[in-house]
Parts: sequence; C-alpha cells; structure tokens
Amino acid sequence: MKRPLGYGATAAVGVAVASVTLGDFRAGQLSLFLSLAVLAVSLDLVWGYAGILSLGQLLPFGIAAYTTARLAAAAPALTLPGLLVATLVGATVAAGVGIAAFRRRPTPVVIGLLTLVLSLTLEQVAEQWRDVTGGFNGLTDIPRITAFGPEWSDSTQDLFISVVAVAVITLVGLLATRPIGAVLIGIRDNERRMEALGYDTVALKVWVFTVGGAVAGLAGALYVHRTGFVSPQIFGFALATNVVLWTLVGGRGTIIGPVIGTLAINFASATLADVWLQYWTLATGVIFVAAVALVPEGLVPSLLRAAGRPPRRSRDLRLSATAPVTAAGNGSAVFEATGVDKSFGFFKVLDGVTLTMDEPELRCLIGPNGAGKSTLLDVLCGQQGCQNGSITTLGRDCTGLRAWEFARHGVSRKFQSPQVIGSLSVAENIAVAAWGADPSPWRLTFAAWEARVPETSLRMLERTGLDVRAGSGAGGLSHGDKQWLEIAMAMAGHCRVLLLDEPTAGMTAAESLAAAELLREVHTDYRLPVLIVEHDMAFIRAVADRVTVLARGSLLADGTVAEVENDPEVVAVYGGVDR
Amino acid sequence: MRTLQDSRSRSRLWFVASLVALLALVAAACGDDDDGTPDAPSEPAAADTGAESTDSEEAPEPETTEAPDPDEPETTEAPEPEATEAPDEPETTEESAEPSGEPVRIGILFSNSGPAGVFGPPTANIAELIEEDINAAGGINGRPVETYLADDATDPAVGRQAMEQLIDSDNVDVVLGTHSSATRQAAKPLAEDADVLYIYAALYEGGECSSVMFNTGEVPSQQLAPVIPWMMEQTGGQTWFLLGNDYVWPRRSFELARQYIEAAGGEVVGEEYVPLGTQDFSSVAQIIAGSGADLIFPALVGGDAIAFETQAVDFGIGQDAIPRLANIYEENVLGAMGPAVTAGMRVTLGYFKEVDSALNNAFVSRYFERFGADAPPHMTFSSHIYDAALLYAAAANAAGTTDTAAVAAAMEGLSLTTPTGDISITGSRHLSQPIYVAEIQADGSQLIVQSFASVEPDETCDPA
Amino acid sequence: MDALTLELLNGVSLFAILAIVALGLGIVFGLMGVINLAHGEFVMLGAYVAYVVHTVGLNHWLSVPLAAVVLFVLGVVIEVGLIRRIHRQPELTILATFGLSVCLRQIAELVFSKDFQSVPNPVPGATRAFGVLFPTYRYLLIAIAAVVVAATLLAFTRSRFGLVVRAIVADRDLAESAGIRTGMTNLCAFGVGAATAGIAGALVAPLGAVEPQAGLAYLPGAFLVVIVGGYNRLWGVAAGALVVAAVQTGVIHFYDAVWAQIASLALAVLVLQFRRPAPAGAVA
Repeated sequence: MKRPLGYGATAAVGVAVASVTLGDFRAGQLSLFLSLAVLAVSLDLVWGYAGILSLGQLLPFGIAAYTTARLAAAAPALTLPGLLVATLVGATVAAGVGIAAFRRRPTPVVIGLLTLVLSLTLEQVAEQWRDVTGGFNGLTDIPRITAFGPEWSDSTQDLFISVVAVAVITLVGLLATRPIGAVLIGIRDNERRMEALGYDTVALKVWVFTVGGAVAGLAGALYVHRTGFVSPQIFGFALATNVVLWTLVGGRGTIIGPVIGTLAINFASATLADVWLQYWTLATGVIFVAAVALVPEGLVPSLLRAAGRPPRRSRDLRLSATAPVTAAGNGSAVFEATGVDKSFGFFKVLDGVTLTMDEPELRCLIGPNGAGKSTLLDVLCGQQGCQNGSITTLGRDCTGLRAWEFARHGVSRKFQSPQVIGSLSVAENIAVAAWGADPSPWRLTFAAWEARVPETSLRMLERTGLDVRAGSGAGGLSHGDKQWLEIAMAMAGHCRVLLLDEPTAGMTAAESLAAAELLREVHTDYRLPVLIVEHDMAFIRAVADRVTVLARGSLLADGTVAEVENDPEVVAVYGGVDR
Repeated sequence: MRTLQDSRSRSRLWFVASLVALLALVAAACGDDDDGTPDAPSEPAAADTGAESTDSEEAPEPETTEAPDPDEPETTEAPEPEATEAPDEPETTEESAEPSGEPVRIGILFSNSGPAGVFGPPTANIAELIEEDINAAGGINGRPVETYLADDATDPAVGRQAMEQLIDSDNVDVVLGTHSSATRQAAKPLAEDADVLYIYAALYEGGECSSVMFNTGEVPSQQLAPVIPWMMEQTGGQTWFLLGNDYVWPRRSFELARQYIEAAGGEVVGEEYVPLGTQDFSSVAQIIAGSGADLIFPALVGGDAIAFETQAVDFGIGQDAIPRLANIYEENVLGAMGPAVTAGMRVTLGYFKEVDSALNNAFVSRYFERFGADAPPHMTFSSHIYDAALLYAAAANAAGTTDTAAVAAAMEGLSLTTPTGDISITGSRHLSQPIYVAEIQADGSQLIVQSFASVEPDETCDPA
Repeated sequence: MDALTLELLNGVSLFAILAIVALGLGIVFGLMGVINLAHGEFVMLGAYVAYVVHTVGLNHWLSVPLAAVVLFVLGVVIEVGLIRRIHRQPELTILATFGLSVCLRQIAELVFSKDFQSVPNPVPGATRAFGVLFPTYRYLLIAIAAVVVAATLLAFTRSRFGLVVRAIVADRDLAESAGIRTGMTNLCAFGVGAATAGIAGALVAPLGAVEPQAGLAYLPGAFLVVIVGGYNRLWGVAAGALVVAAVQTGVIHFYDAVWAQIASLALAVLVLQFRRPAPAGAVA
C-alpha cells in the first residue's frame, strides 16, 4: 500500500526534474503524452481490471475536453476548479452510458461496439453543433491553467500537467492494489462466481466505468489545456484504437504498462515519423500485428515473465479466523421451494418441484442425468429464475431475487465444474469470497488488505494443504484442489446455507471420504445446513442425513439413505445400473 | 488466531525497472536536438535537402561540406528566378554572393498522409526547389535557407504536434502551411505564442487574421467573384445547384457564391451537403436532376468528388447535361475521373501548371526534368507554397533581418512576379493574385480559357 | 410516381452495395466472433484488382472473379498466419486486424502511390425500365450482388457445410466437442469473407475513387449493417443492409445526407442497446 505511493512520489519528482531540465519542447511532449497516459490508465482500470473492452473511453474524455474548453473560455480564472468539473463530467457521462448499457448484460463485443458507435455518433454531433463545439474546425485558443493570478506560462503548465498526471496514475495504481482491485479482476475472470459470492457485478461494473470515466474526464481536461484546442476528431476512430493499442502494448491490468506503452509509442512516433515518413506508418502497423500475435499480454508482463516473475504478484494477505455465522436456529425452515417450474423452450426441466429442509441437516440430492438437479440448485440460489413457484430461505421470501441477493442472504454455492478466479492467488480467492459479505465498492476501496474468514473455510484449506500454497495462483491448481478451494470460498462469505454441486468429482475414493468427514465435522460443529448434488454412493452413505431423489424434473423419493436405496421406484428409475 | 501468509514478495523491482525504462526512454527521445542549435536537421528522407551544402544546385548530397564552388550551370538552362521575380528587391541583385553562416530555417507544415496526403508529394518536391532557388539567389540576408517538413496526417491534433516540432525543436524562423483549416486553427496559437511568422498558403474559406499570419491561398471571393458572372455569360445558364462536403470551406464558398449568383441575376435552386467520405450519390443525383439547375458548383474533395462525378454521368447529370464550375477539382482528382467524365468542366484556381508565361513554362519544365515526367504534378497547393517562400525571402531581405515583426512589416504591400503571375500582399494580409479558369479538354488536359489578373480578396484584417 | 420509383431503385442499389460490402464482415464476425477491422482494406484491394485489370486492358467483369480469388488467397494466408493464433480473444483480433489494416493501406500506397485512380464504367449510360432511366451498371451491380450474397449465405446455411456452420454459430464449444473441425471452418469463413470483400471492391470500383485510403470509408457502413442486422445469424447482413439503406435513402430524401449518417449511427446505438440480452449463465 505504501509502495505505490513511494513510486508515485519518485516518479513525480522524476517527471518534475525532467520537465525542468529537458527544455520546453521535450517537457511539452512529456506533459502531452502523460495526459494521454492518464486516458490509457483509465482504460486499463476498465478493461485490464474489470474486463470491459471500452472503445469509447473517448466519450468522457472528449466531452470533458469540450466542457473544459467552453468553461476556460468563459471563466479563465476558474480553470483549476474546472479540472474538478471535467472529472465530474467524465464520471457523469460514463455513469450514464454504464447504467444504460450494463443492465442488459451485454457481451464484451457488444460493449465494445456500443461504445465505439456512440463515440462516432458524438463525432458527427460535434461537427454539426457549431454554436457550441465550433463545428468541424473545433475550438481553439483555449486558455492555459491559472491559479489565482495571471495565465501560466507553457512550461509551468507542462510541469503542472505532468505532475498531476503522475499523481492521478499513482492514485489509480493505489486503487488497483486495494481489495477492489482483486474484486474487479474477479469480475473479469469469472463474473458468475463473483455474483454467487454476493457481488452485484452489474453495479460494480457501472462503478468502475464511472471511476474510469472520471479519470478519463480529468485526462480530457489536462489534454485540452495542454493542446489549447479541441476538434471533433477527438471522438474519432484513430484515437479510440490508439488508446487501446497503447494499453495493449504496454500490458493490460498493470497500470504502469499502459503508461509505458503510451510514452514509448508516442515518443517513438514523434521522433521516427519525421525520419522514416511513410515507412513509419507501415512500421506501426507491423508493430501492432506483431505485438498482438507474439506478446498478447503486453510488454511489461512479458518482460516480467522473461525475468522469471509472474506478471501479477499476489501480495502478503492476512487471513484471520472468525467464528462462522450460525445457521438458522430462528425457528423458520432452512429453505422451502414450493411448486417450482422451469423450462428451457419446450423442454420442461423442473415440473412443480417442492423441496423443503426444515432443520439444518446434511442432505443429498440424487437422480439420473438430466433429472434437473443442477437446475434446482441454480433456482435455490438465484442463478436462474423459475417460471412458477416460490422460494423461501431462512424465513425470507427470496422468489425472483438475483444470485448476489441470495448470496448476501446467506446462500452459498459451489458450481459443478469448479469456478475459481484464476488470476488471483489462493489466499486472494478466499479473501474475495470473504469480502463478498459486505461488498460496497467504496468500502472495498478503503478497506485494509486483509480478510476475516470463517474458521470453517480456513479449516478446509488446512486439511487439504492449500494453506501452504496460499500465495500460488489459483489458475494453476489441479482439478481436485480447485474443488476444495471453491468449497472453502463458498464457506468464506456470509454462509448460512451451503449448496454443493458434485463436490467430489475428480477426487479419489480416499479424498471423497475425507471430504465427507470434513463436511460432517463442520455440520456438527456449527449446524450448517448443506445440500449436496452427488452421484458417488459411497460418499453419500458417509455424509448424508437424508437423501432426496429427483427424476425427470419431479421429486421421486425422500428419506434416509437406506430407505431410498430400497425404494422400488428409485431402483426402477436407475434402471439396470444398480442391479 | 491463525493467519495465512502469502509467500513473501521480496522486491518491487519491476516497478523500479519500469520507471528506469521510462526515464531512459525520455532521455533517448530527447536526442541531441532539443536546444537552440540542432546539428542534425530532422528532415524526412523524401526531401532531398543539401542542408550543409552552400551550392545545392547540382550535387544535392546532404553531406557536402566542401568549399563553395561558384559555377552556376542553371543560369543558362533555366531563367534565374530571382532575377525576374523580384525586380524591386535590392538585395537580390547581388546574385553572385554565396550564402553562408547560420541557416534560415523554413518550416513547411503539410498533409502527407491521411485523406489529404495525396497533396503531399508535390509540396515535398517544391521544398527542394525552394532551398535551391533561394540559396542560388543569395539566400536570405546572405544566409542559406534550409527547409523542414512536418506532416499533419490530416489531423489537427497531429498537426499541432508537428507545429510544436517545427517551432520548438527545429527552431524554424517561419512556417509555411498547406493543410486543412482545422490544423491551422490548432497550430496558430503556437505561432502566436512563439512569435513565429506563419504563412498559410492553402486555398481556404477566408476570415483568418492574426499578427503573425499571412494567408496567401485563394479565398472564395477571389475564385468566385469574377468567375461566376463569366460562367453564366459563357454558358447562358441562370440557375445553380451547390453541392459540397459538409465543412467550413464549402459552406463559406456557397454563402459567397449565392451573393455573386444573385448579383448576376441568377438563382440558386438547390444547396446540399454530404459528409466527407460519401460513396453513394444516387439520392443526391436525383435531387439535382429534379432541381432543374443549369449549372452545378461542386465543392467536393478527393474521393467524394470522383464518386459524385463518375456516378453523375450515369444518372444523366454529367458535364454534358449540366456544366460544372469547380473550385477544388485539381489534376489528380480530374485525372482519376477520366476525360470522358471531365471534358468541358471549368475549374477556377489561382494556379495551373499550364499557365502560359515564360517564367512558369521554364519552372514547370525544370520541375518535371528534376523529378521525372511522371512526378506528382505541380499544382495550386505546391505553387502557393513556393510563392510563400519567395515572399518570405523577399520580405526578410528587405527587412534585413528574420525578426518576425520586421519581416511582417516588410510583407505588407510586397509585390513579386512568380510562376503564378503578379502577386502582392494586401492590407488584409491576404494575397492579390491572378485567378485562372481552366477548361478540361477531350484528352484530359487543362486549357486556360480565361484569366483575371490581380484579383483582390474580399477580406478585412487589422491584427493590431 | 417516377420520382418514387427512382428513389426506390436508389434504395435497392444502396442496399445491394451495403450488403455486398458488409457480407464478408458479417460472415467472419458471425462465424468466428472476429471483428475484422481490415475488412475495408480488403474491399480497397478488390478495387485495386479491378484497376490492374483495367490498366492491362482486360475486361472489367474479369476482375470480379479475379478479385475473389486474390482476396481468398490473401484471406487464407492471414487466417493461417495471424487470426488462427488469437481468434478466441475478440479484443486481440480487433487490434491485430487494425494493425493489419494499417499495413495493407501503406503497402497499397507504396505499390500504387497515393494518387487517386479510377476504373471506367464498363457499361456507361442508363437503361429505361419501370418508366424511368436508371444507370445500367447499377442494375448489373444489383444483380451480381444479389447472386453473390444469396449464394454465399445459402452455402453457409442450407448446405451440409451450412449445418456445420450453424452448429458452430449456436455453440462453438459444443460443436468442437462434437468433433466438428472448427479450424477448417474458420479458414473457409475468413477466406470467403475476404473473397466477397474483393468482389465488393471490384464491383464498386467504377462508382468512385480507387485509392489506398478508400477502405476507411467502407468500414463504418459495413459495421452499421452488421450491427443493425445482428451478427448471430448470417441473414442478418441482408436484413441490416435493407434497414440501413431504407433509413439512409429516406433521410436523404426528406432531409439531408449529413443527418442520414447520424440517423444510421443512432439506429445502431439503439439496436445494440435494445438487443435481447444474453441469457444468464450462457457463457459457462
């Protein structure tokens, strides 16, 4: 946490010294390119961290630039507060776009196209709205920044812009090292997992888009003061793709990478374009293609990898144990699903299923393939809605709630194929799961880099030996270890009911029995209600208080393991398999 | 309390390394030419400079530093430009003096890539001739001149950076510009702040006025005021259709055209604008066909012009059916349309390479000898850049200095005879110049059918 | 009445141009999920094929199949050399093809110079039909574009190959796990996409300028068509071209060309915004 500040301060001093010693021309270039680097960093926050490919970072940038231009012309004395106005304008524009766009859960490609087309539309509007924008030729003679006195000289302004740019980049870098940074990476890597951990991912995307918009807005204000003019081409295709290029070449999700990418490409361009003329343009094309094909993760991460370092290193993360929330116990049933219908097109998956758990117990849900077990689990935790029926969980009517609302209410879920956040370390995965209990973006921004994790979750890690590998990347774990990690994650949040979909798939028989033992232990210690979808009868016999059988979307049988195993209807459904 | 610790990360070397790389980069980018005395002019390879050569006429090798060699072979084969071009200029009569000393730096801001990049190559060629001719005439105040080219990529943001490069890094004494108005608007404040003379030589919409600027390109009032009545008389047409790209210059041209047409007793029956980059003109063609216009005034640029004209023929509104008066169709665009489409079109501009004067004929033949018969043709943009350079040289010689205010004062009222014709700077800081009307012949060649000498621009400017 | 007929024909010819220009973009996008920003340059190169055919004195119509062949080969080379490595990451393909477009533009400039070129109209003049005179070349263009678009789309949807294609469009992972060789299909899609762009270039060459920058002007229109038509069904290209042509022609007729462009962009924004959202958990 202190380190980025230290580097930022060093960089600011370095840039200031450079501005003073390099001469006006280079200092001017530096401030220009740094203001563009701020734009690239705003894109990195949105794209590199949260995974939103915005080709429209120029929307907040350009609108803030025009706003600043008009404002500075109207009130030259108020240019400093004008920077704040530009920041707010950028945030507002981005929030507007984000709220309109993300609610409909667009694919990344749709977001890219939407933001690009919006940007191109704005270019046209800026050309036509001559009274305000100056039309095709744009606005010129925009005053420089002033503070309580005469207009600053170019060199003073260059120094100011460079230092402010470094400060903003440092702030974004700090933000990225906060818990929110890890959470955004989680959304990028696995949005569904994050929703099941209690994160309102749509709201978080809008939030990060807004923050990115604020940063882009400030970049727009710095840029327009620096260049002294603005024209509709600020929304154009060329700048839109260039920003993406700088970010990509430097390395997404690293903050410093896009800064280096922006400075390197722009300085090279300014220097070489003169010497090489048309061949330079060809060379840039070749560089783009080569960069994408050969070093798609970007320069900075590739260099780090070459130097034997992971591109993103997990930092020391303190996981301290707390007591788990105690289950139900308030007299109401754990869950009651009544008359649940669910169809996909003409195919009816669940047909009036009623499933209740009155007291905390270890319940297994079994049935042949296609019986609708996973779908029922999805419905019970809000991953999917149902057409008819109602869901009441721990005394609250949860019908129609979304996955993150279920999760915050205490319903935790492990998916059939293990869903972990591959770019984060094991400890960070657990921490992200734990932070999901109180996931406001502002809290996550200012919260300490540590997590309080229920003792049950830590016990899982310890028993499976994952605790000694807390710092290694979750993406590199074996299938079985991912299963354990995901179970631990499901227990790490506000877990009052645990739903497990095939937890032992990929485990050896011995591991399965160990898992059964562990689950029983946790259940006994804290009366944690658990519903498990499973096929492995040995595991079921070891773990289950009670078994419910689902077949063809309907409830078939319900009872102890022995009762169910001897139920002729169940035997019939399973056909010859068990005979 | 139990805790889990991530494996301890020893160092943040990557961040430091990045920072070092960043600073190294800055340092590398600084190079050696950011102070006042650059020793290596960063000129494009295309511009063959002869930068250090005091006699750059016959051996244009940049490295030549040997003692000046006072032979003047070109005096016999081509008329000495300075002898005739500025007869009222005392300094230029000392034609034998070899320029020496610190060079005068002439920056040329032009479009060499992007949509207007097609106009770049002739300007780059002319930059060589500018150096040659001014140096052969004794340079400026006895100093040689060097040209520095900078490309705006038809993008004002890039143009602004290019202007910074010229002023702050190349330390030019003057900037000659041929590029869009958007780039001029973006670049002008830099010239004003640095107090560098900026001669904008492209044809444009008019209205520019600044203490450091002169605008020597054609403005619509010059291209249109004498030519519109002439066109109506020649063709007998009374009603006009105005079709332009949607930006400032066509809009201003049409505003004035409307006045001149109405003053001449004609009528505008339609005025349409299309976005830059329009490819399908079918609906527009139908509007024109339905307007009943006798004449079309197309202010379309580049590919849009070619698309419109080639499509118009098939819609029955080609030049045969409705004669054109164009104000930007130049050789490149006309050549692409082909003579079948263009034959009979009239174009009004301040220069065509077909201008029939001894000075121009010699200049044009020298241009093609020098750059090859298939060189990009010398045209109004490159010609105005050449004129702007001669105007600057004459004014700086008259002022005896390259001080901006003094040269600007000497510019006012300055008259020259150049391949373009008789030109003089007006009180409005624009250029009184000849306007030519060329008619495209059946073989695609341009024949000058009418010329108007010393057309005054309808501009006012008082930068004080 | 005649005016209406003419405007209708204008609309149809614009529809044909938009459809043939956008076809390749739609195929590559719909089938591979690749946003090909070099598509405009493919069209530009197709136009240069027509220009070369004209300069060596051959018949213009020869350039249509020739452009298809040249661009198909180029498309295959690019797919194998570049796209194949990265087609799973849409954002990388956007950038790679953007770089490619810069390269192709500059190479065209080095080979053919920046100068504007043109290809003369092989059938100048107009034909009288439906009571109005309408350019003969445009009638032919409409016919050829209709045949090429229809044939391509039918090949991609109705044939045995089309079945494979539809399986891939519906669910690439499932198709792959079912043993469908998506690599071969990608190669076909990209090659055919480039080939149709080449045909488009050769067809529109006589209608305008042939120059290295021309691709930049074709791309936005093609994108609008693909966005408006919807890229998860191949016939969307035809539907999108129809809607965009109708909007453009209508707005130019009743208002002007500048607002026609803004209207098309706004239409694309609306379509993107109100497209059916992806079902939850579709990307598992």
